[in-house]
Amino acid sequence: MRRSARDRFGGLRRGEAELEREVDDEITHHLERRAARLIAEGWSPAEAWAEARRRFGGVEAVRRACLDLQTRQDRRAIRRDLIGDLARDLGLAGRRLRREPGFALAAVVTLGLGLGALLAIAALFDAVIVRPLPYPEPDRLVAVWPEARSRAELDGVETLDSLENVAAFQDGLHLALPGPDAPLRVEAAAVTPSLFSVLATAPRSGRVLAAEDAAAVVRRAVVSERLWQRVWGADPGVVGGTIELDGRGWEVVGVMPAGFHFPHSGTEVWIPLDRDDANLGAYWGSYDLRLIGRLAEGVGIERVASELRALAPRLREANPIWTPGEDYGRDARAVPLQEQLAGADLRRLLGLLLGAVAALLLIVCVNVASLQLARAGARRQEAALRASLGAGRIRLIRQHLVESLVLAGGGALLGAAVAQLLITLLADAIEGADARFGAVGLDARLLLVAAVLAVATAIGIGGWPALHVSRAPASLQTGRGAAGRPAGAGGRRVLVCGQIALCVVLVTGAALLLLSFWNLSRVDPGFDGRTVLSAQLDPPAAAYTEAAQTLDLYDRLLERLATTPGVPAVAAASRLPLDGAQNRMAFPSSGNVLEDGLLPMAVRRVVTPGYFSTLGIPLLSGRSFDAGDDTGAPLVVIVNRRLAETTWPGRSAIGERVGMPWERPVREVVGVVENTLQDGLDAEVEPEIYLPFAQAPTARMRVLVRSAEDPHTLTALLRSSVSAIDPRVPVSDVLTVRAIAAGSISDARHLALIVASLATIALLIAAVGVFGVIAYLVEERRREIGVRVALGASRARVAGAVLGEALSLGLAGVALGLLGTAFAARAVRAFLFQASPLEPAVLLIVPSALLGMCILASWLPARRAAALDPVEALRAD
Amino acid sequence: MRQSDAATCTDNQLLKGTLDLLILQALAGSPRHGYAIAEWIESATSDAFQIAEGTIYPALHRLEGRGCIEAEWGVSENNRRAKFYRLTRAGRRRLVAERRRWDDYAAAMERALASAGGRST
Repeated sequence: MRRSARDRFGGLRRGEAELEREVDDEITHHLERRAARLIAEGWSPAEAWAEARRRFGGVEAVRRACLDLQTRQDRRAIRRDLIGDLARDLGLAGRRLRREPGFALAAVVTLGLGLGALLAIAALFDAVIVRPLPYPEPDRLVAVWPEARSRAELDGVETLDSLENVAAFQDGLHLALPGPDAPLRVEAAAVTPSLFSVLATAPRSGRVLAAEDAAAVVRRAVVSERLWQRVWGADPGVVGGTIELDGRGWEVVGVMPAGFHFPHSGTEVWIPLDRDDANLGAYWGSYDLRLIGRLAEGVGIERVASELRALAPRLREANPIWTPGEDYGRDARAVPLQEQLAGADLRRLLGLLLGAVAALLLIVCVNVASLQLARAGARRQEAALRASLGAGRIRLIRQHLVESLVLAGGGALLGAAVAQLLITLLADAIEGADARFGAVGLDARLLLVAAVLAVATAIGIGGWPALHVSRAPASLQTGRGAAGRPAGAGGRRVLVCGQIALCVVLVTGAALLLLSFWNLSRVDPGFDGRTVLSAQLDPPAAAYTEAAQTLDLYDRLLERLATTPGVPAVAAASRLPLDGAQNRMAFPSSGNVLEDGLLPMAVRRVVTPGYFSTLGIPLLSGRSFDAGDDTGAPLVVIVNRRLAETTWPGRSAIGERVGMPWERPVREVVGVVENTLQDGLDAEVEPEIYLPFAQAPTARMRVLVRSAEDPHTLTALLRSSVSAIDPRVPVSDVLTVRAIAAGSISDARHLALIVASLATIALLIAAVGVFGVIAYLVEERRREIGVRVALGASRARVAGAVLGEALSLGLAGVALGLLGTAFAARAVRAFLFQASPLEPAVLLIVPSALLGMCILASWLPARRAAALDPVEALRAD
Repeated sequence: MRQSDAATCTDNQLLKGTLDLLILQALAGSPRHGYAIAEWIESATSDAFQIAEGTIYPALHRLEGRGCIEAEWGVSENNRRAKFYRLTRAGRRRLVAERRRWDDYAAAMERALASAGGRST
């Protein structure tokens, strides 16, 4: 085939100087010939040259035109050649991979799993931590004085110069919305109207809440776009119309835009925060009000903290009931809202998971690279042949990388699908990651990350093998060195060692988390909820304005349930232990002193007399509540052992007094009960005050029914009993108390399960890796083994030598892994419960398990080596 | 400047595309270098077009880029390094096509001019 002049003279990458010389040569040649001809016709040389130039026309213009044309054509040719080469390499890679479908499939699937897992966690990490909050100028949003306890504090914070705007809100309210069958329970937040200006979000239609709405006779609310769509089918007539919430009419003044759900992803309704001064008690020591603010233009977050500290002495005086100590306000601070919403726990959790999936991807890459090396060994002959036929080293490396890119690209495509699936699973599993910041999903940025990862992976899995192949000797010798040492074996050993090391880290982490979950699930919460069914009742506020109505509802319900056969005990409580955030209050008492300048805090629970017997909580001294502890009787409380011991150390609590935050200690302690855990199975027991339901009637209660048999059989009975008494009362969250307690450690369970699955996959992949390298070693040493068998080595010794090889690999990997574990321990420590990051049992079992895995994985190759027929092995070469 | 419009001014005297056709025709027999092509055009047209000789070089490079001709450095009759151009298969096809087009064009012009002569009748 003829090649163009471009290829022959200087090739494609000829420089500009060369190009110029060629064009100049061509033009000069023309002028010389023309001049020579004219001279031959009798012109004088000088005139001949001038005439030649004249006939030629503008020499410089022609020269420029030619150079431009050539440059452009060269560039096009280079592009064409590159694309052609790439297409050739892609075709070659495709043909090769088709020849080895098993390898290609294994590589793409494992890479897909690894990339998918990493992408999914990265997406969550991005949504929760990296991506800014979906409000204008999100970096100016701060959470202020994260533990706001009083109305005075809100008023004070509103005066700060460093904050342009301040809002308070109370979350976790639930309102009953009449539904087609049963009332819906809708999550709402009571907010100051300023919330919408702090978040700088305009409504989708209608208006947001205004200052006058708080005091208005007509109740006004703003609803979410999701609720508007779901319940009213996006009917525009809803805005300005009246809806029923909790049995009362509310005017809907506006609909927020899609995706606006503050402070939770489940928040659907915003109502004005009741700032009635008569209701002062709600603002002192209630812990419920959270404050956020928008920084004034150009103000740093530190200014807020210093202004808050300056404010503290004034606020200290403002409490009408008791005066906080000198230390009051010492902890005042402001943190970026994003940080506050994505708590430290969630950050640590996502960081840990990110590390785990990165380790998994690394293991996968190492595995594919190791398989590549094995193939590279087999391909050295081919490479040598190609090299001898003139294929450059760069070309060989490029081919290898293109092939890796095909694998990584396939893996990335699969990974995107895997990630999409994992994201939905994970978002459900990890509390707080549930789209708190809008939808978690794969967007263009994450797909870009996927592409970058794919390229990095390709270099990772193809780089070493490519270099390895390209170092092939130019001669066509076999892939074996003089000593019979298999080519590439050293590299593969290193890779497998690294794999085992990463595995040790992952498996240790998983084992620690599982151990910790096991410890958690064995914790005795202090009550027995195995056969107790519970349900949340939310009587509509409009129908239950009087305390007597509330008392009557629960009296009748409990009586009805108690007379059912097979129900030994019933009760009601304002909130169950281990069921999310507990109600707390500061309590003045006849014994307590200020702690850190503040009244001590206690969990506050309103219960009916049957509560302690229903949940099997032992009474330690005094008496339980009884029917006599009602409105007319002296005010009484029961406290837990922790409160009794800390407040009245060394003496009996019976007869002592405590009070609500807004009153003097007027309630007499009549009983002390055993501690129960309140906040979580891994939390400390806190002081707790139980109030008798009749003396502190609360509309929203959880009803408890102890059953003699399977508690779930009581579900229908519970629902029908409620609707027989008042069909307007929504019944929700019908769960056994045990399920509620189990739910409190679901995060720990999910985390343990996720990491354990990752570790299992890693272990399998590493096992394949060990198997591969040992099988390869045995195959490459057939001759050597044959000689040894021929010289009288026993089969057991041969097998032993192979297993020893695997074991030495394993030992090296385990040693390396334990070193890595020491570093990783810090990341996992925060998630451990009653387990040390360097738990001796785990540090003993995991390495043994991995060594066992090495032996198992090399069992087959060892047997094959032992069964080797020496005659055949020696003849084969 | 005198030189600057040299590449374009010849279009006034030569119909667009005509130079390409002439070059392809010049190469129809055997490979030639640029000067030989210029000489061939001069003699074959009896110097009718008076083209600036330099203009054939951009035309040559363009035709090369389109794959109609290919170039090869060789040694010319006076023992100097010269770039020789030859027709490729595509160039030959192009020559045939261009030639037919030109014939059609010329015939159409001929007819038109002949019918214009009918004005006197």
